[in-house]
Amino acid sequence: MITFARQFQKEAARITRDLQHRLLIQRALKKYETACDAEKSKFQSWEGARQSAAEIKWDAVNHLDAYLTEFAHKIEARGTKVHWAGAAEQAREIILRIVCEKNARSIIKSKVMTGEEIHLNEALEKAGYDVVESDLGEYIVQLRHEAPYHFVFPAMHLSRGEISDLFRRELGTVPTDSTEELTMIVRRVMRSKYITADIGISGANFAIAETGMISITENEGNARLTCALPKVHIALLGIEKVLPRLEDLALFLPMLATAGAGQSLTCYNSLYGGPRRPGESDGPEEFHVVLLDNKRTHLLADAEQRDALHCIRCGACLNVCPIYKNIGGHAYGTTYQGPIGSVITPHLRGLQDWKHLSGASSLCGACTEVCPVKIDIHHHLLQNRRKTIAEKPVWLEKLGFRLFAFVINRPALYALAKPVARFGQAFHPLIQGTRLDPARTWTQSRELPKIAPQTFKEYWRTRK
Amino acid sequence: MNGREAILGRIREALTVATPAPGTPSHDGDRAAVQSHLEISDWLPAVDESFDGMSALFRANSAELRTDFFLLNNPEELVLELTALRDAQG
Repeated sequence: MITFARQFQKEAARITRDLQHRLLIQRALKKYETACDAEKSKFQSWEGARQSAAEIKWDAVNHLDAYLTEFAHKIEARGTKVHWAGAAEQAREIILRIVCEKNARSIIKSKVMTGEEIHLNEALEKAGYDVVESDLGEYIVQLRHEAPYHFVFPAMHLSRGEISDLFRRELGTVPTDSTEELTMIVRRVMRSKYITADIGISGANFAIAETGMISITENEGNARLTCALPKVHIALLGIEKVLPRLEDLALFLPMLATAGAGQSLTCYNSLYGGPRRPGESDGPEEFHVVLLDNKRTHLLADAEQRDALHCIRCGACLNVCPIYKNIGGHAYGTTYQGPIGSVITPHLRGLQDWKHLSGASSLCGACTEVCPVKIDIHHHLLQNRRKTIAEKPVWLEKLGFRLFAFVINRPALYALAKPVARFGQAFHPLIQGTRLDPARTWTQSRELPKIAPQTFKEYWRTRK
Repeated sequence: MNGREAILGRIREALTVATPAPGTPSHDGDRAAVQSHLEISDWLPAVDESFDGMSALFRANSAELRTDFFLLNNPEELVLELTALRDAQG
Protein backbone atom coordinates (compact mmCIF):
# COMPACT_ATOMS: atom_id res chain seq x y z
CA MET A 1 0.00 0.00 0.00
CA ILE A 2 1.34 3.42 -0.92
CA THR A 3 1.41 5.72 2.09
CA PHE A 4 0.23 9.32 2.12
CA ALA A 5 3.85 10.37 2.65
CA ARG A 6 5.10 8.40 -0.36
CA GLN A 7 2.27 9.74 -2.51
CA PHE A 8 3.09 13.28 -1.38
CA GLN A 9 6.81 12.88 -2.20
CA LYS A 10 6.02 11.41 -5.59
CA GLU A 11 3.50 14.06 -6.55
CA ALA A 12 5.62 16.92 -5.16
CA ALA A 13 8.66 15.72 -7.13
CA ARG A 14 6.61 15.47 -10.33
CA ILE A 15 4.95 18.88 -10.05
CA THR A 16 8.14 20.67 -9.02
CA ARG A 17 9.69 19.72 -12.36
CA ASP A 18 6.71 21.16 -14.26
CA LEU A 19 8.04 24.64 -15.01
CA GLN A 20 4.91 25.69 -16.93
CA HIS A 21 2.79 24.93 -13.88
CA ARG A 22 5.14 26.83 -11.64
CA LEU A 23 5.04 29.85 -13.93
CA LEU A 24 1.23 29.83 -13.99
CA ILE A 25 0.93 29.70 -10.21
CA GLN A 26 3.63 32.23 -9.52
CA ARG A 27 2.16 34.67 -12.06
CA ALA A 28 -1.28 34.37 -10.43
CA LEU A 29 0.16 34.80 -6.97
CA LYS A 30 2.18 37.83 -8.03
CA LYS A 31 -1.06 39.57 -9.08
CA TYR A 32 -2.62 38.65 -5.74
CA GLU A 33 0.40 39.96 -3.85
CA THR A 34 0.25 43.37 -5.55
CA ALA A 35 -3.50 43.72 -4.95
CA CYS A 36 -3.20 42.51 -1.37
CA ASP A 37 -0.42 44.98 -0.53
CA ALA A 38 -2.47 47.83 -2.01
CA GLU A 39 -5.52 46.89 0.07
CA LYS A 40 -3.52 46.46 3.26
CA SER A 41 -2.08 49.94 2.81
CA LYS A 42 -5.62 51.39 2.95
CA PHE A 43 -6.01 50.18 6.54
CA GLN A 44 -5.12 52.72 9.18
CA SER A 45 -3.24 49.91 10.86
CA TRP A 46 -3.17 46.42 9.37
CA GLU A 47 -1.18 45.24 12.39
CA GLY A 48 -3.78 46.66 14.78
CA ALA A 49 -6.52 44.95 12.78
CA ARG A 50 -4.63 41.62 13.00
CA GLN A 51 -4.28 41.98 16.74
CA SER A 52 -7.99 42.75 17.15
CA ALA A 53 -8.95 39.85 14.90
CA ALA A 54 -6.70 37.51 16.88
CA GLU A 55 -8.26 38.67 20.15
CA ILE A 56 -11.81 38.23 18.87
CA LYS A 57 -11.06 34.72 17.59
CA TRP A 58 -9.30 33.90 20.85
CA ASP A 59 -12.41 34.99 22.73
CA ALA A 60 -14.66 32.96 20.39
CA VAL A 61 -12.58 29.77 20.55
CA ASN A 62 -11.85 29.95 24.26
CA HIS A 63 -15.56 30.37 25.08
CA LEU A 64 -16.74 28.13 22.26
CA ASP A 65 -19.31 26.26 24.34
CA ALA A 66 -21.10 29.46 25.36
CA TYR A 67 -21.04 31.04 21.90
CA LEU A 68 -22.12 27.88 20.09
CA THR A 69 -25.02 27.42 22.49
CA GLU A 70 -26.05 31.04 21.98
CA PHE A 71 -25.79 30.70 18.18
CA ALA A 72 -27.84 27.48 18.11
CA HIS A 73 -30.47 28.83 20.50
CA LYS A 74 -31.00 32.02 18.49
CA ILE A 75 -31.05 30.45 15.04
CA GLU A 76 -33.41 27.69 16.24
CA ALA A 77 -35.77 30.34 17.60
CA ARG A 78 -36.35 31.46 14.00
CA GLY A 79 -37.30 27.98 12.83
CA THR A 80 -33.90 26.63 11.75
CA LYS A 81 -33.09 23.03 12.58
CA VAL A 82 -29.59 22.71 14.05
CA HIS A 83 -27.81 19.34 13.78
CA TRP A 84 -24.63 18.47 15.70
CA ALA A 85 -22.28 16.09 13.87
CA GLY A 86 -19.42 14.60 15.86
CA ALA A 87 -17.70 13.02 12.86
CA ALA A 88 -17.66 13.19 9.07
CA GLU A 89 -19.79 10.07 8.78
CA GLN A 90 -22.49 11.55 11.00
CA ALA A 91 -22.56 14.77 8.99
CA ARG A 92 -22.97 12.79 5.76
CA GLU A 93 -25.76 10.73 7.33
CA ILE A 94 -27.61 13.85 8.52
CA ILE A 95 -27.43 15.48 5.10
CA LEU A 96 -28.37 12.29 3.25
CA ARG A 97 -31.35 11.82 5.57
CA ILE A 98 -32.61 15.36 4.87
CA VAL A 99 -32.12 14.92 1.13
CA CYS A 100 -33.92 11.56 1.21
CA GLU A 101 -36.82 12.87 3.32
CA LYS A 102 -37.39 15.66 0.84
CA ASN A 103 -37.42 13.25 -2.11
CA ALA A 104 -34.80 15.46 -3.72
CA ARG A 105 -33.08 14.58 -7.00
CA SER A 106 -31.04 17.62 -7.80
CA ILE A 107 -28.68 19.40 -5.41
CA ILE A 108 -26.79 22.63 -5.97
CA LYS A 109 -23.82 23.59 -3.83
CA SER A 110 -21.95 26.79 -3.29
CA LYS A 111 -18.39 26.62 -1.99
CA VAL A 112 -18.30 24.25 1.02
CA MET A 113 -14.82 23.32 2.23
CA THR A 114 -16.27 21.27 5.05
CA GLY A 115 -18.12 19.38 2.31
CA GLU A 116 -14.75 18.49 0.77
CA GLU A 117 -13.53 17.51 4.23
CA ILE A 118 -16.34 14.99 4.73
CA HIS A 119 -16.38 13.86 1.06
CA LEU A 120 -19.97 14.96 0.70
CA ASN A 121 -20.16 14.98 -3.10
CA GLU A 122 -18.99 11.38 -3.32
CA ALA A 123 -21.58 10.29 -0.74
CA LEU A 124 -24.42 12.15 -2.49
CA GLU A 125 -23.45 10.92 -5.94
CA LYS A 126 -23.09 7.35 -4.66
CA ALA A 127 -26.62 7.62 -3.31
CA GLY A 128 -27.78 8.60 -6.81
CA TYR A 129 -28.22 12.35 -6.45
CA ASP A 130 -27.25 14.87 -9.09
CA VAL A 131 -24.83 17.33 -7.44
CA VAL A 132 -23.48 20.44 -9.11
CA GLU A 133 -21.03 23.02 -7.80
CA SER A 134 -22.18 26.58 -8.52
CA ASP A 135 -18.93 28.42 -7.77
CA LEU A 136 -17.09 28.93 -11.07
CA GLY A 137 -13.76 27.51 -9.91
CA GLU A 138 -15.39 24.65 -8.03
CA TYR A 139 -17.50 23.81 -11.09
CA ILE A 140 -14.38 23.67 -13.25
CA VAL A 141 -12.58 21.28 -10.89
CA GLN A 142 -15.76 19.22 -10.54
CA LEU A 143 -15.87 18.79 -14.34
CA ARG A 144 -12.24 17.63 -14.16
CA HIS A 145 -13.01 15.24 -11.25
CA GLU A 146 -10.35 17.00 -9.22
CA ALA A 147 -10.18 18.43 -5.70
CA PRO A 148 -9.96 22.22 -5.30
CA TYR A 149 -6.40 23.44 -5.74
CA HIS A 150 -6.62 26.32 -3.27
CA PHE A 151 -9.00 27.54 -0.52
CA VAL A 152 -9.97 30.67 -2.41
CA PHE A 153 -8.95 29.98 -6.02
CA PRO A 154 -9.95 26.34 -6.65
CA ALA A 155 -8.96 26.37 -10.33
CA MET A 156 -5.92 28.66 -10.23
CA HIS A 157 -3.71 25.92 -11.72
CA LEU A 158 -5.56 26.06 -15.03
CA SER A 159 -5.03 28.42 -17.93
CA ARG A 160 -7.93 29.94 -19.87
CA GLY A 161 -7.06 27.62 -22.75
CA GLU A 162 -7.34 24.54 -20.56
CA ILE A 163 -10.70 25.73 -19.20
CA SER A 164 -11.97 26.47 -22.70
CA ASP A 165 -10.92 22.96 -23.84
CA LEU A 166 -12.66 21.46 -20.82
CA PHE A 167 -15.91 23.30 -21.60
CA ARG A 168 -15.70 22.28 -25.26
CA ARG A 169 -15.25 18.65 -24.24
CA GLU A 170 -17.78 18.52 -21.42
CA LEU A 171 -20.36 21.12 -22.44
CA GLY A 172 -19.89 21.25 -26.22
CA THR A 173 -19.17 25.00 -26.29
CA VAL A 174 -17.16 26.95 -28.82
CA PRO A 175 -13.51 27.51 -27.77
CA THR A 176 -12.78 31.00 -26.44
CA ASP A 177 -9.94 32.83 -24.75
CA SER A 178 -12.18 35.42 -23.13
CA THR A 179 -12.66 35.21 -19.35
CA GLU A 180 -16.06 36.92 -19.68
CA GLU A 181 -17.28 34.40 -22.24
CA LEU A 182 -16.08 31.47 -20.15
CA THR A 183 -17.96 32.92 -17.19
CA MET A 184 -21.09 33.39 -19.28
CA ILE A 185 -20.97 29.73 -20.37
CA VAL A 186 -21.10 28.62 -16.75
CA ARG A 187 -23.75 31.20 -15.92
CA ARG A 188 -26.02 29.79 -18.65
CA VAL A 189 -25.51 26.24 -17.36
CA MET A 190 -26.18 27.29 -13.78
CA ARG A 191 -29.35 29.24 -14.47
CA SER A 192 -31.45 26.13 -15.04
CA LYS A 193 -29.70 24.26 -12.22
CA TYR A 194 -30.69 26.92 -9.67
CA ILE A 195 -34.33 26.74 -10.75
CA THR A 196 -34.58 22.96 -10.76
CA ALA A 197 -32.49 22.21 -7.65
CA ASP A 198 -34.46 20.78 -4.73
CA ILE A 199 -31.75 21.39 -2.16
CA GLY A 200 -29.09 24.06 -1.80
CA ILE A 201 -26.00 23.27 0.24
CA SER A 202 -23.66 26.01 1.41
CA GLY A 203 -20.87 26.46 3.91
CA ALA A 204 -20.46 29.55 6.06
CA ASN A 205 -17.61 31.94 6.60
CA PHE A 206 -18.79 32.92 10.06
CA ALA A 207 -21.56 32.01 12.50
CA ILE A 208 -22.70 34.97 14.59
CA ALA A 209 -23.60 34.00 18.14
CA GLU A 210 -25.23 37.31 19.08
CA THR A 211 -27.85 37.18 16.31
CA GLY A 212 -27.93 33.48 15.39
CA MET A 213 -27.01 33.99 11.75
CA ILE A 214 -24.49 32.61 9.29
CA SER A 215 -22.43 34.96 7.17
CA ILE A 216 -21.38 34.06 3.62
CA THR A 217 -18.96 36.17 1.63
CA GLU A 218 -18.46 35.62 -2.11
CA ASN A 219 -17.80 37.28 -5.45
CA GLU A 220 -20.11 35.56 -7.90
CA GLY A 221 -23.56 35.71 -6.30
CA ASN A 222 -23.83 31.95 -6.62
CA ALA A 223 -24.05 31.32 -2.88
CA ARG A 224 -26.91 33.80 -2.65
CA LEU A 225 -28.87 31.93 -5.32
CA THR A 226 -27.97 28.54 -3.82
CA CYS A 227 -29.30 29.65 -0.45
CA ALA A 228 -32.40 31.46 -1.67
CA LEU A 229 -33.90 29.52 -4.59
CA PRO A 230 -34.15 25.84 -3.57
CA LYS A 231 -36.91 24.91 -1.11
CA VAL A 232 -34.41 23.48 1.37
CA HIS A 233 -31.12 25.07 2.43
CA ILE A 234 -28.47 23.11 4.31
CA ALA A 235 -25.46 24.96 5.73
CA LEU A 236 -22.53 22.80 6.77
CA LEU A 237 -19.92 24.47 8.96
CA GLY A 238 -17.16 23.66 11.41
CA ILE A 239 -17.80 24.50 15.07
CA GLU A 240 -14.87 26.93 15.06
CA LYS A 241 -16.61 29.33 12.66
CA VAL A 242 -18.39 31.17 15.44
CA LEU A 243 -17.86 34.88 16.09
CA PRO A 244 -19.29 36.53 19.20
CA ARG A 245 -20.95 39.65 17.80
CA LEU A 246 -22.47 40.97 14.58
CA GLU A 247 -20.16 44.00 14.72
CA ASP A 248 -17.16 41.66 14.51
CA LEU A 249 -18.00 41.27 10.82
CA ALA A 250 -17.04 44.92 10.34
CA LEU A 251 -13.48 43.76 10.91
CA PHE A 252 -13.54 40.21 9.60
CA LEU A 253 -15.25 40.80 6.25
CA PRO A 254 -12.72 43.39 5.00
CA MET A 255 -9.82 41.43 6.49
CA LEU A 256 -10.93 38.19 4.84
CA ALA A 257 -11.40 39.95 1.50
CA THR A 258 -8.02 41.68 1.77
CA ALA A 259 -6.00 38.67 2.91
CA GLY A 260 -7.92 36.19 0.77
CA ALA A 261 -8.33 37.94 -2.55
CA GLY A 262 -6.66 41.36 -2.38
CA GLN A 263 -10.05 43.09 -2.36
CA SER A 264 -11.51 45.82 -0.12
CA LEU A 265 -14.63 43.75 0.29
CA THR A 266 -16.08 40.87 -1.67
CA CYS A 267 -19.01 41.69 -3.95
CA TYR A 268 -21.71 39.80 -2.07
CA ASN A 269 -21.96 39.57 1.71
CA SER A 270 -25.07 37.87 3.06
CA LEU A 271 -26.50 36.89 6.42
CA TYR A 272 -28.94 33.98 6.78
CA GLY A 273 -30.90 33.53 9.96
CA GLY A 274 -33.66 31.10 9.19
CA PRO A 275 -36.20 29.84 6.67
CA ARG A 276 -38.65 32.05 4.80
CA ARG A 277 -41.12 33.65 7.17
CA PRO A 278 -44.82 34.26 6.46
CA GLY A 279 -45.17 37.18 4.09
CA GLU A 280 -41.62 36.92 2.73
CA SER A 281 -41.35 36.44 -1.01
CA ASP A 282 -38.17 34.39 -1.18
CA GLY A 283 -35.86 32.16 0.81
CA PRO A 284 -35.99 28.45 1.59
CA GLU A 285 -38.99 26.80 3.22
CA GLU A 286 -36.63 24.79 5.40
CA PHE A 287 -33.24 25.75 6.77
CA HIS A 288 -30.84 23.25 8.36
CA VAL A 289 -27.49 24.06 9.96
CA VAL A 290 -25.06 21.17 10.45
CA LEU A 291 -22.35 21.94 13.01
CA LEU A 292 -19.33 19.72 12.44
CA ASP A 293 -16.76 18.70 15.03
CA ASN A 294 -14.76 16.01 13.17
CA LYS A 295 -11.85 16.15 15.64
CA ARG A 296 -11.78 19.94 15.97
CA THR A 297 -12.24 19.35 19.69
CA HIS A 298 -8.95 17.36 19.65
CA LEU A 299 -7.22 20.48 18.43
CA LEU A 300 -9.14 22.56 20.97
CA ALA A 301 -7.86 20.30 23.75
CA ASP A 302 -4.29 21.00 22.65
CA ALA A 303 -3.70 24.32 24.41
CA GLU A 304 -0.37 24.80 22.62
CA GLN A 305 -1.97 24.66 19.15
CA ARG A 306 -5.52 25.78 19.92
CA ASP A 307 -5.05 28.99 17.99
CA ALA A 308 -4.97 26.96 14.75
CA LEU A 309 -8.77 26.97 15.16
CA HIS A 310 -8.69 30.75 14.63
CA CYS A 311 -8.14 30.15 10.90
CA ILE A 312 -10.66 31.98 8.69
CA ARG A 313 -9.59 30.06 5.54
CA CYS A 314 -8.34 33.12 3.67
CA GLY A 315 -5.49 31.18 2.07
CA ALA A 316 -2.95 33.98 2.66
CA CYS A 317 -0.45 31.51 4.13
CA LEU A 318 -0.64 29.38 0.98
CA ASN A 319 0.01 32.37 -1.24
CA VAL A 320 3.34 33.22 0.42
CA CYS A 321 4.57 29.71 1.12
CA PRO A 322 7.67 28.79 -0.94
CA ILE A 323 6.62 25.12 -0.75
CA TYR A 324 3.05 25.72 -1.93
CA LYS A 325 4.35 27.96 -4.74
CA ASN A 326 6.39 25.06 -6.05
CA ILE A 327 4.32 21.97 -5.38
CA GLY A 328 0.84 23.49 -5.69
CA GLY A 329 -2.33 22.41 -3.94
CA HIS A 330 -2.97 18.88 -5.18
CA ALA A 331 0.34 17.37 -4.04
CA TYR A 332 -0.72 17.71 -0.38
CA GLY A 333 -3.59 15.27 -0.90
CA THR A 334 -5.59 17.09 1.79
CA THR A 335 -8.70 19.29 1.93
CA TYR A 336 -6.75 22.07 3.62
CA GLN A 337 -3.47 22.63 1.82
CA GLY A 338 -0.41 24.76 2.49
CA PRO A 339 1.02 25.70 5.88
CA ILE A 340 -2.24 25.82 7.85
CA GLY A 341 -3.35 22.57 6.25
CA SER A 342 -0.08 21.00 7.35
CA VAL A 343 -0.79 22.14 10.90
CA ILE A 344 -4.41 21.01 11.18
CA THR A 345 -4.55 17.92 8.95
CA PRO A 346 -2.47 15.71 11.30
CA HIS A 347 -4.90 16.63 14.09
CA LEU A 348 -7.98 15.92 11.99
CA ARG A 349 -6.76 12.83 10.12
CA GLY A 350 -4.02 11.25 12.25
CA LEU A 351 -0.61 12.52 13.29
CA GLN A 352 1.43 9.52 12.11
CA ASP A 353 -0.21 9.28 8.67
CA TRP A 354 0.21 13.00 7.96
CA LYS A 355 3.42 13.78 9.87
CA HIS A 356 5.30 14.32 6.61
CA LEU A 357 3.38 17.58 6.05
CA SER A 358 5.15 19.36 8.90
CA GLY A 359 8.44 18.40 7.25
CA ALA A 360 7.33 20.10 4.02
CA SER A 361 8.26 23.53 5.29
CA SER A 362 11.32 25.72 5.16
CA LEU A 363 10.15 27.27 8.48
CA CYS A 364 10.75 30.70 6.97
CA GLY A 365 7.80 32.10 8.91
CA ALA A 366 6.22 33.94 5.97
CA CYS A 367 2.91 32.19 6.75
CA THR A 368 2.89 33.46 10.33
CA GLU A 369 3.74 36.95 9.17
CA VAL A 370 0.76 37.23 6.79
CA CYS A 371 -1.87 35.39 8.84
CA PRO A 372 -4.66 37.92 9.49
CA VAL A 373 -5.55 36.28 12.81
CA LYS A 374 -1.91 35.86 13.89
CA ILE A 375 -1.74 32.07 14.07
CA ASP A 376 1.79 31.01 14.94
CA ILE A 377 1.82 28.64 11.98
CA HIS A 378 5.49 27.82 11.56
CA HIS A 379 5.96 27.12 15.26
CA HIS A 380 2.96 24.80 15.10
CA LEU A 381 4.73 22.89 12.33
CA LEU A 382 7.69 22.46 14.64
CA GLN A 383 5.38 21.36 17.45
CA ASN A 384 3.83 18.76 15.14
CA ARG A 385 7.33 17.42 14.39
CA ARG A 386 8.06 17.22 18.12
CA LYS A 387 4.74 15.50 18.88
CA THR A 388 5.26 12.97 16.10
CA ILE A 389 8.60 11.88 17.53
CA ALA A 390 7.36 11.92 21.12
CA GLU A 391 4.42 9.70 20.13
CA LYS A 392 6.38 7.26 18.00
CA PRO A 393 10.17 7.63 17.97
CA VAL A 394 12.02 6.63 14.78
CA TRP A 395 14.75 4.21 15.96
CA LEU A 396 17.15 5.06 13.12
CA GLU A 397 16.88 8.78 13.82
CA LYS A 398 17.24 8.16 17.53
CA LEU A 399 20.33 6.03 16.95
CA GLY A 400 21.76 8.70 14.65
CA PHE A 401 21.34 11.43 17.23
CA ARG A 402 22.76 9.23 20.01
CA LEU A 403 25.78 8.50 17.87
CA PHE A 404 26.16 12.19 17.08
CA ALA A 405 25.91 13.07 20.82
CA PHE A 406 28.44 10.37 21.65
CA VAL A 407 30.96 11.72 19.15
CA ILE A 408 30.41 15.43 19.80
CA ASN A 409 30.89 14.93 23.56
CA ARG A 410 34.32 13.34 23.06
CA PRO A 411 36.77 15.84 21.56
CA ALA A 412 39.31 13.17 20.59
CA LEU A 413 36.66 11.16 18.75
CA TYR A 414 35.30 14.29 17.11
CA ALA A 415 38.78 15.29 15.96
CA LEU A 416 39.18 11.83 14.43
CA ALA A 417 35.77 11.97 12.75
CA LYS A 418 36.74 15.02 10.69
CA PRO A 419 39.53 13.50 8.59
CA VAL A 420 37.48 10.29 8.24
CA ALA A 421 34.54 12.34 6.89
CA ARG A 422 36.81 14.23 4.47
CA PHE A 423 38.29 10.98 3.26
CA GLY A 424 34.83 9.45 2.83
CA GLN A 425 33.57 12.45 0.95
CA ALA A 426 36.30 12.11 -1.66
CA PHE A 427 34.80 8.73 -2.62
CA HIS A 428 31.17 9.80 -2.33
CA PRO A 429 30.72 10.62 -6.05
CA LEU A 430 31.30 6.90 -6.79
CA ILE A 431 28.12 5.88 -4.91
CA GLN A 432 26.11 9.10 -5.16
CA GLY A 433 22.39 8.42 -5.68
CA THR A 434 22.81 4.62 -5.53
CA ARG A 435 21.37 2.36 -2.85
CA LEU A 436 24.76 2.36 -1.12
CA ASP A 437 24.60 6.12 -0.64
CA PRO A 438 23.49 6.84 2.95
CA ALA A 439 22.58 10.40 1.93
CA ARG A 440 20.70 9.46 -1.26
CA THR A 441 17.39 11.13 -0.24
CA TRP A 442 19.29 14.39 -0.14
CA THR A 443 21.63 13.82 -3.07
CA GLN A 444 18.91 12.75 -5.52
CA SER A 445 18.17 16.41 -6.23
CA ARG A 446 20.90 18.33 -4.39
CA GLU A 447 24.64 18.45 -3.87
CA LEU A 448 25.91 17.23 -0.53
CA PRO A 449 27.50 20.19 1.29
CA LYS A 450 31.29 19.94 1.17
CA ILE A 451 33.15 19.51 4.41
CA ALA A 452 35.36 22.55 4.89
CA PRO A 453 39.06 21.85 4.21
CA GLN A 454 39.91 23.48 7.52
CA THR A 455 38.08 23.63 10.84
CA PHE A 456 37.89 26.95 12.65
CA LYS A 457 40.51 25.73 15.15
CA GLU A 458 42.87 24.75 12.32
CA TYR A 459 42.32 28.12 10.65
CA TRP A 460 43.01 29.93 13.94
CA ARG A 461 46.26 28.08 14.38
CA THR A 462 47.50 28.89 10.85
CA ARG A 463 46.41 32.53 11.20
CA LYS A 464 49.31 33.15 13.62
CA MET B 1 -26.18 11.50 25.14
CA ASN B 2 -27.14 13.33 21.92
CA GLY B 3 -24.75 14.91 19.43
CA ARG B 4 -25.15 18.36 20.91
CA GLU B 5 -24.34 17.27 24.46
CA ALA B 6 -21.43 15.12 23.28
CA ILE B 7 -19.79 17.96 21.34
CA LEU B 8 -20.41 20.57 24.03
CA GLY B 9 -19.05 18.11 26.60
CA ARG B 10 -15.85 17.63 24.59
CA ILE B 11 -15.50 21.40 24.18
CA ARG B 12 -15.94 22.03 27.91
CA GLU B 13 -13.41 19.35 28.75
CA ALA B 14 -10.91 20.79 26.26
CA LEU B 15 -11.36 24.29 27.64
CA THR B 16 -10.44 23.30 31.19
CA VAL B 17 -6.89 24.18 30.16
CA ALA B 18 -6.68 27.94 29.56
CA THR B 19 -4.54 29.57 26.90
CA PRO B 20 -3.15 33.09 27.12
CA ALA B 21 -4.90 35.75 25.07
CA PRO B 22 -2.90 37.02 22.07
CA GLY B 23 -0.31 39.52 23.16
CA THR B 24 -0.76 38.87 26.86
CA PRO B 25 1.70 36.88 28.91
CA SER B 26 -0.86 35.74 31.51
CA HIS B 27 -3.19 32.77 31.35
CA ASP B 28 -6.08 34.84 32.63
CA GLY B 29 -9.05 34.12 30.37
CA ASP B 30 -11.17 37.09 31.43
CA ARG B 31 -13.20 38.20 28.41
CA ALA B 32 -13.80 41.77 29.52
CA ALA B 33 -10.10 42.36 30.05
CA VAL B 34 -9.28 41.03 26.60
CA GLN B 35 -11.86 43.09 24.77
CA SER B 36 -11.53 46.33 26.67
CA HIS B 37 -9.07 47.84 24.21
CA LEU B 38 -10.79 46.73 20.99
CA GLU B 39 -11.49 49.66 18.68
CA ILE B 40 -12.16 48.17 15.31
CA SER B 41 -12.71 51.50 13.56
CA ASP B 42 -9.21 52.57 14.59
CA TRP B 43 -7.69 49.98 12.31
CA LEU B 44 -10.02 49.87 9.31
CA PRO B 45 -9.57 52.11 6.26
CA ALA B 46 -10.41 55.69 7.20
CA VAL B 47 -13.80 57.06 6.20
CA ASP B 48 -14.51 60.79 6.05
CA GLU B 49 -17.41 61.63 8.36
CA SER B 50 -18.95 64.24 6.00
CA PHE B 51 -21.57 63.22 3.45
CA ASP B 52 -19.42 64.50 0.59
CA GLY B 53 -16.46 62.49 1.85
CA MET B 54 -18.49 59.33 2.17
CA SER B 55 -20.10 59.67 -1.25
CA ALA B 56 -16.69 60.35 -2.85
CA LEU B 57 -15.32 57.19 -1.27
CA PHE B 58 -18.40 55.24 -2.34
CA ARG B 59 -17.93 56.51 -5.89
CA ALA B 60 -14.26 55.51 -5.92
CA ASN B 61 -15.00 52.04 -4.54
CA SER B 62 -17.84 51.59 -7.03
CA ALA B 63 -15.49 52.44 -9.88
CA GLU B 64 -13.07 49.82 -8.58
CA LEU B 65 -15.88 47.24 -8.71
CA ARG B 66 -16.81 48.45 -12.21
CA THR B 67 -20.20 49.64 -10.97
CA ASP B 68 -21.91 52.85 -12.16
CA PHE B 69 -22.62 55.17 -9.28
CA PHE B 70 -25.30 57.87 -9.54
CA LEU B 71 -25.83 60.48 -6.87
CA LEU B 72 -29.29 61.97 -7.39
CA ASN B 73 -30.86 64.98 -5.75
CA ASN B 74 -34.55 64.11 -5.79
CA PRO B 75 -37.13 61.47 -6.84
CA GLU B 76 -37.70 63.17 -10.19
CA GLU B 77 -34.04 62.71 -11.10
CA LEU B 78 -34.35 59.07 -10.04
CA VAL B 79 -37.28 58.51 -12.41
CA LEU B 80 -35.36 60.13 -15.27
CA GLU B 81 -32.24 58.07 -14.56
CA LEU B 82 -34.14 54.79 -14.29
CA THR B 83 -36.02 55.50 -17.49
CA ALA B 84 -32.78 56.27 -19.28
CA LEU B 85 -31.22 53.06 -17.95
CA ARG B 86 -34.25 51.02 -19.02
CA ASP B 87 -34.14 52.51 -22.51
CA ALA B 88 -30.39 51.96 -22.80
CA GLN B 89 -30.41 48.40 -21.48
CA GLY B 90 -33.64 47.28 -23.16
